[in-house]
Formats: sequence, C-alpha cells, structure tokens
Amino acid sequence: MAEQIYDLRPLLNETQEMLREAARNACVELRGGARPQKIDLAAAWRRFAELGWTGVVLPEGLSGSGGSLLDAGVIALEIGRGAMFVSYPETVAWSHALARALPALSAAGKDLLAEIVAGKTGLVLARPLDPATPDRALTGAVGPAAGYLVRLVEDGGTRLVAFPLDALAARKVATTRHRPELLVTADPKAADGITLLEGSAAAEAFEIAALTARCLTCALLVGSGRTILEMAQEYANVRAQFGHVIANYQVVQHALVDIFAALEAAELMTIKALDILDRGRRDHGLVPATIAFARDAVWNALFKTYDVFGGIAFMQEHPLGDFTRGMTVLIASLGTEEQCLEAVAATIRKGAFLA
Amino acid sequence: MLEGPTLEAEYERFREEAIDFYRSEFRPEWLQTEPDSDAYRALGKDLDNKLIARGWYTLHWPTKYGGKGGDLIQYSILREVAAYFRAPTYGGHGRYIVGPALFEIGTEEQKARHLPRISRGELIICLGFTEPDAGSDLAAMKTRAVDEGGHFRITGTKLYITFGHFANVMLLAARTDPAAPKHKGVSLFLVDLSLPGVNMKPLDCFTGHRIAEMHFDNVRVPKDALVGELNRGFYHMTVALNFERSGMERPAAYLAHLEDMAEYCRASGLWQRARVRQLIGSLAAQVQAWRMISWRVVMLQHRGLVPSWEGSLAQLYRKDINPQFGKAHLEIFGNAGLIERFDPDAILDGRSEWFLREGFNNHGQGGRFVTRNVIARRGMGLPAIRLRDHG
Repeated sequence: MAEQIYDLRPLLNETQEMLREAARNACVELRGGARPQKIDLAAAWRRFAELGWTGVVLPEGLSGSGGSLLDAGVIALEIGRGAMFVSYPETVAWSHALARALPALSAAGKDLLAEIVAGKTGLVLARPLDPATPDRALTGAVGPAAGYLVRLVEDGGTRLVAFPLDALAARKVATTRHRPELLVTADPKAADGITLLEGSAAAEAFEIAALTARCLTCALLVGSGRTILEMAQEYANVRAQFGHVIANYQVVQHALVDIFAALEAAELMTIKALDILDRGRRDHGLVPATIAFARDAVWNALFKTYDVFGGIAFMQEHPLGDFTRGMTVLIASLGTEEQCLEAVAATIRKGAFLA
Repeated sequence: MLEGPTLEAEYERFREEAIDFYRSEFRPEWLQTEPDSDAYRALGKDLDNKLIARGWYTLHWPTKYGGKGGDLIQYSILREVAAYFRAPTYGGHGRYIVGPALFEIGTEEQKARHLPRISRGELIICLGFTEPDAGSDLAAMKTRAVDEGGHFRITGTKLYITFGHFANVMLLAARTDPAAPKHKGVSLFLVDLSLPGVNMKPLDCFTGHRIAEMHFDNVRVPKDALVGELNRGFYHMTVALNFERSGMERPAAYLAHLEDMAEYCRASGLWQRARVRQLIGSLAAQVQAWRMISWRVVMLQHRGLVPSWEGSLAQLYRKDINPQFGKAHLEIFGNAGLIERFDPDAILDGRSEWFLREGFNNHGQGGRFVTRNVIARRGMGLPAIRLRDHG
C-alpha cells in the first residue's frame, strides 16, 4: 500500500484534537507547575492508567482503549510538555507489539498486558552500552511501580523474555546524574524471566517495539522541547540587557525561530511516522528520517535554549537542568547520530519515493 | 473530511494515475537539459500542452474557468509527482499564484478574462514586486501609479523579475497613495507588457537562470487593470499571494536527486564511505521535514484557512537546506562535482554541478534573515525589531 501522506494527520482530526486538549489539561494538573524532578511520577503513572493511557493501543478485548499509535503519540507529546520523563514510550511500544502477536502470546504475556492496563507495571528496552558487549545495557522503568526489561534470548531458539527489574537491580546501579535509577545489566539468565513469545513472532515483536518506542520517544521529546522553548521565550520577553528586553534582538529571535522551526517539523514528522507504523509500514523512509531529525531538533533546542538563558540556566536551581537530564536520557535511547543517519541512508533507493 | 477511507483511496488512485502519466511521458532530456534554457522551455511547453489536454494544468480550478474541478490535494499530489520526475514546464506564475489569487481578490470580469487564458497556457505572468531600493524592505517601493481619470500612469523600475524576459503580463505593485504610511497606499495591477513604455533588460544569473529588469516609463494602463482594492495591495501581497509561494513540490525533486546520488554512489563505490552515507541520510531527513512543513501549508489551504507564517516556514526550510544540499556535492564528489553539464565526465548529467551553484540561491521572496523575522513576529508573537535611525 502506498504512503498516503495526503490525509496528513499531522493536522489532527477532531477526535485527536480533543484527546490532545484533554491530555494537555491532565498533564498541567499532574505537574502542578513543579520543576521536573519534583513531579510525583508514580502518582502520574497511576493517573495515566485511570485515563486509559497505559492501555491506549490495546484492544478493548484486553481492557485497553482500542486507540492507535497516533493517539499514543498525541498523549506522549503532552506528557513531554508536562516535563514527565517516564517510561511511557517503551511501555506503549511493547504493548502494541505484543498485541499484534496476540494469538502467539503466552498466558503470562497476556497477564502482563493486563498489569500494564492497570498501571501496575511498565515494559522497557535494554540500551546496549556499546555494540561489542550487547549483554551490558542501560535500562530502567520510571513511573510504574514495577517494571520488566524485555529482550530477545537466543538459547537454541529465539524467545522474547521479560525480566523483572527488581531482580536485575541487585546487579548494578549505574552512576549517572541523568537518571539515578538506570541499571547496568549483565545478560540475565533466561530462567529468571517470563517467556512472552517464541520464534519469528518474538523477533518481529522486538523489531516493532524497538522502532515504535523510538518514534514515541520522539513525541515525548518534542513535547518537552516545546516547553523549554516557551520557557526561553518567556524569559526573553522579561530579561533586559543593553536597555531592552532581549526578545527585541534579532539574534535572540532567530535562535528562538530556529528552535520553533525544527520542533514544528519534528512534531509533524513524528505524528506522521506513527501513522505510518499504525499501517504496518516499518520500511518507510519517513520513519528513520523522523528519528534522525527529531533527535537533532531537540538537542539543538536544548543547546540554543541555554544560549538564550545565559548563565542563570546553569544554576542547580534552574529547571532547565532537569529538562536536560531527562531529555538527554531519551535522546541517547534513540541511538547515536551515526546509527540514525545510517538507518535513513539505507532507505534511499531509486524509486523509494514512489513506493 | 479527509479521514474517511474512501477519499484516501481516491487520492491514492489519483497518485498512481499521475505516476503512470509521468512515467510514460518521461524523457531523459528532462534531466539533461539546462534549466531555464530555450531547449528546456520547449520541453516544458510540450508537456504543458499534454497537461492542458488532460485538464491537469489547472486541475483544481472550476471548470468554467478552464479547470477540471479537482481539489487542492489532488493538484498538490500532481505537482509533487511532477517534481519527482523533474518534469519541465514552460513557466509563469499564472497557474500557481496569480490565478488562485484572482479567485480571492479579482472581479468577475477579471476572472472571466484572465483565468481561461492562464488555463490554456496562453497568459504567462510574472510578479513585479522587487525594486532596486525595495528588496527585503518591500514596502519601500517607489514605482508610482497615478490615477489620471480614465487610466493609471505607471512609472518605475522592477528588478530581479523571474519569467520577466518572456512573460506577457506582470502583476505589478505600485504606490497609489504616496502620502499614506509605507505599508498602505500600495495597489496591484495586471499590466500588459506589450504596452508602450515597457522596456525589458534580461539578466543572467549564476545558476544559469535568466531573469529581468523591467522599466515602466509613463505606461498608461486601463482602470480595470487594478486587482483587489485600491491601496490594499500590500495586504493582498502578504495574504492572497504569499501562501502559494511555498514551492510545496520542491522537496520531492530534492528527494529524487538524493535517490540519484545514492544510486550513483553505490555504483561508484563511494557508498562504502560512512561519511557519504550519513551526509545523504542527513539531507534526506531534513528534506522529509521540509516536505511535511510544505504539506501542512496545502492542508491549511484545503481546509479553507489562510496560511501565514506556515508558508514562510516552508520557505525557510528551503533556504536553510539549499546551501547544505549544494555543499554536499562538493563534499561527496570533490573535484568531479565541478564538471558542468555537456561534458561526458559530468556527474549525473551535470546536475551535481548545478546543485552546487543552486546552493547559493536563497534570497528570493526575502532572504533567510527576513524570513526568520517574519516567523518571529507572525508565528511566535515576538516583538517587531526596532531599528534606530542612522545619524
């Protein structure tokens, strides 16, 4: 099936606009104006479950909301705007991937989906520390009371296994200012985990979850980018130097415009990429292009926001530092720039645009 | 209205039809001929005539004005597919800009007179806004149009006029009330360029494009040449005329060229270099972003909204990507990228060298600084830049 860019859901339909508005209001309420590190993320996650967001992409037969990835993207944008750096993208991505493989999903896997809907647990991916040692990875769940690391296990066959993070926590907690609860895992014993899927269904679910999680992460990042842009713009309108508020200076305006321009496109691309994934098109060139572009856009947003704020943002008390920590973890989870660009390049072939 | 599966399928079917058309019409000369040359223009005329015969030249116009009654989405699909195939066109701003503007601000008589001729490719229209002392600061224009009862008398100079060297009509902006503030007191006129007193001097550009300098020496134009309201020309320029200037089809042409570059690099072994792959990947990601921004402009128009800063944002993407796009040819192909068209050693029939030069072409419709200023004010609500008077 061809690409169907022409319904251009980046301009959301009425239902999605309503969802976005409701999500925005809920996140404003949950945040309560607090700086990111002071937000009660466990309480926020429980509220997400009450609102049906944790099970948003699961079918109603599994007590989910029966929504689309695009709906989840709209929610992720607003969670990001609300400065809540939670494991929502990965949890939703896994529930989407597992739901697609429902007939092959183990009974334990179905139980896990029920726990996700109820807001009791989250599923996360491992982020390898380096390609040479894939068994060493950063991971961690933020928000849900319990979490599972899901990964492929090759032991004579391919299995998708969920490992309880509590059990992994005994191994090592990495020292990082960015997310204190990040764990460094050694390759866990398969016997410690719950088998979700086996064979080709396991491999496919892993691929779907990994790609979907990155697109949803882009949504959360773009949302948080919007918030730091608003903060910078507000500051530029009150901070006076050389006799004028700095928003009067062209160089400041252009920095803000550059952030704005990049986030506008990143948001449109992210929503469209999720729409494409909803349609089962994992090979589409827009998907890796979105990840590469959004990654760059939010990094530059952070960097240029510091330019606008100047020294004050570097103070421990300033909330921009919280955003930087939260966003940097998510940016790193998208892969390196090299990995992102190689993924785009692989899709550029004669006639790809017409396919 | 776009959420239903039926309409989506309709658009997909139309896109396939457009792809089939351009595949069957495609000629290698489209890629080998110098853009804006006489030979290119002849190819464009030939293809335009085929589009006119199918009703696709002005597909989204009402049938009574020579259109086919299609919608803007279909027309944009067509533009994008055409751009992907690098299909030539004769030129003129009639079907994309002036025609749609006439629907908004033209009189019934003007619509009946001009639109069918545009739809038949007979009326080639250029835009006469920029002047020697009015570039980014367009409101500083000095060209005068004096109401002398039965006609307007126009005097002034217009500069850097795209299509000016072969157009037969200009949509010209002139000051009609010199006492009014500079953004007011400007009006628009459709001026027949064969009238006495009009002189054209062609100007050749670095990119190989030809444009023109146009002199108007006491040119008498009829009263019904006035387009839109008297003294509201600046407003019309920024609203009715601005949004169609986003060049929504261009990202498709750039993506097509990236596909060509990637294939060339794979065949030549350059693809083995990570730097080459990542540079092309980076450009593709940015062009995809540009494409989404451009499509949003179309969607807003399709929904009956008037884009403002959204059109400027699409322009900004072009102007920011273009220099990088040009430089990439230098970085990937090195010295070989300098070999021009017509030389058998030229890469991609010389399109590589052409894009290298085209990378410097980022000033039309206001340069990159001015475009950012527009977005800052209209898109973000930032304060207008206040400049101190000199001296």
